[in-house]
Amino acid sequence: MTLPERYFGQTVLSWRIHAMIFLAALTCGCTSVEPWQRGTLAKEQMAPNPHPLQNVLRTHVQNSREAASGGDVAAGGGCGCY
Amino acid sequence: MALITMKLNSMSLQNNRLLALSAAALALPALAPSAQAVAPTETVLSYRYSQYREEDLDRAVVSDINVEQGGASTHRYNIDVNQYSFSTPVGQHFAMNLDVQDETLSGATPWGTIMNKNGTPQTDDDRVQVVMSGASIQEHRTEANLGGTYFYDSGTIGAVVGTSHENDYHSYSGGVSWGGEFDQKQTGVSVGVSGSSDTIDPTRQTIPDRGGWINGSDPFSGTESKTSFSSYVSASRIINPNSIIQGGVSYTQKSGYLSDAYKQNDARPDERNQYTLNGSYRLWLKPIKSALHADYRLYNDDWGVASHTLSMALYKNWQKLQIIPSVRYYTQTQADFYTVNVNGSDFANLYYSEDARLSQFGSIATGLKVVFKQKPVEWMLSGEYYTSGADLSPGTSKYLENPGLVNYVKVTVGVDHRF
Repeated sequence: MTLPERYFGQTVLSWRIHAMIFLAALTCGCTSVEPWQRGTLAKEQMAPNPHPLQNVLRTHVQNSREAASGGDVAAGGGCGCY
Repeated sequence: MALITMKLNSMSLQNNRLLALSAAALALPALAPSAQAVAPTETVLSYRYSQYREEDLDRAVVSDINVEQGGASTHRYNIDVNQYSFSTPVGQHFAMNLDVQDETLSGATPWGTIMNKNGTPQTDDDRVQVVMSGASIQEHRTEANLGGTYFYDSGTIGAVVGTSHENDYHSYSGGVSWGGEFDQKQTGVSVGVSGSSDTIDPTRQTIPDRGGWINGSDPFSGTESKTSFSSYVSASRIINPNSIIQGGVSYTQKSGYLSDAYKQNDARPDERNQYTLNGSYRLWLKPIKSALHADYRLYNDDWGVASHTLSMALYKNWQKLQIIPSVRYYTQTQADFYTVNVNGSDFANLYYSEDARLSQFGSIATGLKVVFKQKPVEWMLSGEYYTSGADLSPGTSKYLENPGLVNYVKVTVGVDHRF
């Protein structure tokens, strides 16, 4: 699989390196958080997607109006040819 | 005992957040896993009604070349959307959800672009013009997705099937996903694959074929089709008691008929490989008792399009109200085969398109949402304004802006009932 390595006309770091940096950042620099310390994280406001139904429509509209898509909540089907 | 119960509830909710963050943020088209470590205990019935209104075009940027054929409308699209959602637990380890979306679409669509005068536009009087259809297009779309999730001690397995139908377009899709927790449930990992099969049978009677404004013969011998396959991997991690981070990658391959049948000059490759790199961050801001949401996406594909998307939102609870201001910035480069004015020499190329969505541009969307919670019912009202333009993307000329870019307003009202 050959990945494009150009955006905005410039050569950039390989996508694989970007991915490794992201994933490495997830596993380092973190403190151990005990279960009883996770009350704040459990709040509804901290949910990744508190309003999924509305985000589905928003993403569907954006995918119909922009060239980029993916990596987001489900966008639904349809032509989007308008 | 009460304290222990509170802690256990908190742990369960947090586990929901962890898995959901790693899965939902990278869900695929037609794949919307609701990764939760603990099966839901409530049945939820939801309804949303949305009005989507695109701003009319300035008459000066609309070509009159096809006025006699009933075109040259300055109106754009209006869409009314009804969304219904039903989710319910099934036993202790299963949950199912059914989402239905029904849309009524009407308005006019860009057929292509032309130069107002010869040469490269350099003044306000010499901009690119858009060739519009008439404002008589009427469409209706219905989509349904049925999903199921199995919950076990340290993870979930989900599956979804979906279908979408318009009078000229039919789509069938399905996907599966898995989510797991590790390291004392501080790290979540999700993977998923999905696929879809689409067919289009364009209604071309009033749509110009390449090289002519009105073509009496349908250039399509029959139905065209396309397929897509998507996969993703994501991981989330608790940073500290007030923040959590997520990252992931996704890959989508589309193949088949990828052109837009409703554009005048549009010939696109029959394959497209798309890649995304995502990052999400959730931070609890103690001084204002609010949650900050920050999301970033880097996108690239083999059509030459690259894009950055940055979204920010603040979730503020105040008594029974939740107030959520949000902003989103998006920018993209143009596709390799995009041109603002396809002419004779372009037809010698294999691929070409005047579609504004393949041009270089940027957009800003600002929104405000208010939720009123009165158990067991939640009411919500939201509005969003989206504006796009070449000048919102660095390094582009406003004189070469494709007038087919849109500005729109979207207003939504809705209600959730839990029982």
